[in-house]
Amino acid sequence: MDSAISSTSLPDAGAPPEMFTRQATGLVRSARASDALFYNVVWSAPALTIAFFFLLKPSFYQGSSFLLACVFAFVLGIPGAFLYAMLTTAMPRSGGDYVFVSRVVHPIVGFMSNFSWVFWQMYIIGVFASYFAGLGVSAWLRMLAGFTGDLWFLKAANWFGTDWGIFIAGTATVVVSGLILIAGTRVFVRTQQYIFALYVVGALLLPVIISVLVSHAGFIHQFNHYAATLEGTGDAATKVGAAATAAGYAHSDFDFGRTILAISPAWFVFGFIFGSNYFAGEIRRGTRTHYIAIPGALVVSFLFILLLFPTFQHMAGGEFLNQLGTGDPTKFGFSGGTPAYPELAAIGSGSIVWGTIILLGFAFGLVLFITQTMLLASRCMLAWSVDGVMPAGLGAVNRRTHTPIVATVIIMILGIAATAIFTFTTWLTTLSNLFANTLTLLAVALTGIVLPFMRKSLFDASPIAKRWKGIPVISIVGAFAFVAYLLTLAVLLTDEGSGTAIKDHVTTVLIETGIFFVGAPLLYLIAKWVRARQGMDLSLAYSEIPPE
Amino acid sequence: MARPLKLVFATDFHGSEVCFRKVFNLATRAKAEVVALGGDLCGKALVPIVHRGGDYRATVGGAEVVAATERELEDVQARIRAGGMYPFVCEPDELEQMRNDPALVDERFRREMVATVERWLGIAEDKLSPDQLCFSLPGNDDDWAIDPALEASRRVPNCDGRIVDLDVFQVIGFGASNRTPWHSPREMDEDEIYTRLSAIAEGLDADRPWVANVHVPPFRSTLDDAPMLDERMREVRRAGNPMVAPVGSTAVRRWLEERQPLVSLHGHIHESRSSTRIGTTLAVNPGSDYSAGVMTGAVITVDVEKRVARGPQFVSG
Repeated sequence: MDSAISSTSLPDAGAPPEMFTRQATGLVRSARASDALFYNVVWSAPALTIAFFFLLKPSFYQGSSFLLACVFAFVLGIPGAFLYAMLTTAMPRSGGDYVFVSRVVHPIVGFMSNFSWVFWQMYIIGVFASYFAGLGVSAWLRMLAGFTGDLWFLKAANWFGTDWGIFIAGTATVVVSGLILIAGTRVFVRTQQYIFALYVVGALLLPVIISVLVSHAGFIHQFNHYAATLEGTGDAATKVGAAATAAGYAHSDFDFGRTILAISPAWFVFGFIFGSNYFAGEIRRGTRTHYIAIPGALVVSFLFILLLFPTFQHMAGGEFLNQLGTGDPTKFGFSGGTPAYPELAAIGSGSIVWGTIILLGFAFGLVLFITQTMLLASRCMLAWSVDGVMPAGLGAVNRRTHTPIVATVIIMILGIAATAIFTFTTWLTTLSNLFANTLTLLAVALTGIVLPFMRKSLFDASPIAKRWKGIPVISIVGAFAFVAYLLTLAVLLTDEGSGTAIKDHVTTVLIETGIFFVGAPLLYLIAKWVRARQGMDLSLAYSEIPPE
Repeated sequence: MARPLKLVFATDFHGSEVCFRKVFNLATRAKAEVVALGGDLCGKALVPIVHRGGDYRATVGGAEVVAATERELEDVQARIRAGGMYPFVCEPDELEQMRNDPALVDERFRREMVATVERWLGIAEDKLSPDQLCFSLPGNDDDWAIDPALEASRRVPNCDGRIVDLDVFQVIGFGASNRTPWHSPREMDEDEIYTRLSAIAEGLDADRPWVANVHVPPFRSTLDDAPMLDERMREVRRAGNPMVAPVGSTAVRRWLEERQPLVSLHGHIHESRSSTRIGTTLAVNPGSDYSAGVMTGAVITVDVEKRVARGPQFVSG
């Protein structure tokens, strides 16, 4: 049989020579960097973070400027974003921090950082699922009551606002999200596309448009009308002020210290905007791809916040929002609880249709984050299984759906447990995962610093082999990221709103550091021992095989 | 009672000498008795290094590199080889001739592929310890021109289209794949694959264990999930997520289900690093990351007496 070599001469006569290729499999064109950028923007959660901030502000961040806190968090996130882009360019393999840290520093450090990461992502699933019930379903039903006066909706809303209502709806959310994932990539992607469209329109675009079009006076009018229809409370806005005063509220001037502490909720958006590196092996290589996808997503999310926050605050009024969050909600006609950001945006719209799109957009945006988080966590579990740290069964992939079903089911179970913990206990708070997840970032920053020295050949052969005054640029970027992450950890250990402030939550901090520094290494050592008994050398999975 | 054998398998080197060398070092570290080489040995690209005005210029990783000395030239060549491509030094007019004459490119490609395979077999023979066994296979991407070089090695027998008896077990090799969008050198229709595999298997000693080294993985086995491509050969993504589809061979699947070797070794789909059981057969695709100079391999434990295969332990380094 004759061969099928077909040559391609790429350059013009004057251009530098490139290459000739022959007819062979796998020579596909590059995927667009915008795909990875899109993924990262989806994975950041600007609308959710604004909701978090308004929920936490009355208790922890009075007098703070959230926009300034976002600027600080954005700046703190920049070196890390570039570091992740550089590491992904140097090691374009799926698996994110697990690959970077285990292959550069040490397998046990890689497993520590990634196990802790995945463990606390399970917790986030529980937080998101709980908010789906509280800020999504319950708020939507109450909005229906607020616009129609139908008491059945109000009763249903109040039930979904109870602990059992939140837990049951949250559990259903986790199960449905898991089933979407198990159903396979096609179902997952199709569902994502529809939900993403609803999320962008409902949670991002409509609130901005409504907030621009509706004046503060118009909003107060809508609020009063809504409260009157809901529970028959007249002049509710005035009663909000009175309830706040009764609860001890006093106007706060700008407080720089509280603004620094408000970096915690903003870190939710700007600290972890690199989900695409978990499937980096599936992104075709390009010198700029990951720089567009990761730091680019940081900028896009910042722009979302710049659009959402000031416009909403302009409509609702900063002082009114402070009072609303401080006073007893039963005093101004909201017996089911204080209305949060998405419900307020819906109230501002004055329309049951727009309000429904806003609230469902927000609620299903949470489902989007849950499925994405489950996807990333299952990929990490798959990597542990392939490396032999976990049993092969954990990574078993269904032949038809291409889904790691066992891993996904385990994630669902842990997600439901997290929903129960978040709903029924006060052990952990909305932002409790940030401390542990930032420890993982610290391990990645360390990896960036040492990469050129511990994996010299990999560094020298990579497109990031650049130096400034003789020092590898990635080491400099890693050092900046390391300092930024240390500063963030200092904020998280100080801020009472983070749920990991040393003075109030020392047990949580000990558990999070314990899982990272004790639990995960122990698991690794047990796996190493078990594999040795099976005749396998676990370290082979991570070892750098010399070519000579 | 003989202890179980360790078998190291790697595939789809695509011209990466770094990855090829690493396999034998992995075998030493894993104390493996058998080294199995999968198909697709040949590189896909020729990179001209143009000698112009006293220095040498090439495009590597999208950027122009300049070598002013012989030492720097060797470094550039090593970088190109590490990525699985063939460097060749030429004068500007020679490059221009190649641009205008595809036959010259074909000739250069064949020369480089054959020379590389010959050199690699020499490396393998040097690196194998006296008691280690090894066998090779061309893949669908490999030009037929390399076959004489593969056939010439006694220490590393080519198992393509035949049974090789390694004493510890028998090996059946098959390098061709089912049809691909690239029309690579060794492709066949599914019926022909099944007919040929079945014919080879007729020669097996049914009382002794055997291993299959079949380049294309079985269909819908998790070893064959490849990125979906659009009509312009771009990866299909939806909502930022890559879409994948099974592209393995239905003939290979049917044949494995019927014949049940102890182990079946596969490659071809670089992204689909996985293992599964098809009946009692342990099917393995260690994947490939050759262009990054990362050797992805699998260590499999084979108990010949009990006719049981365990693992694999995947390795990438």
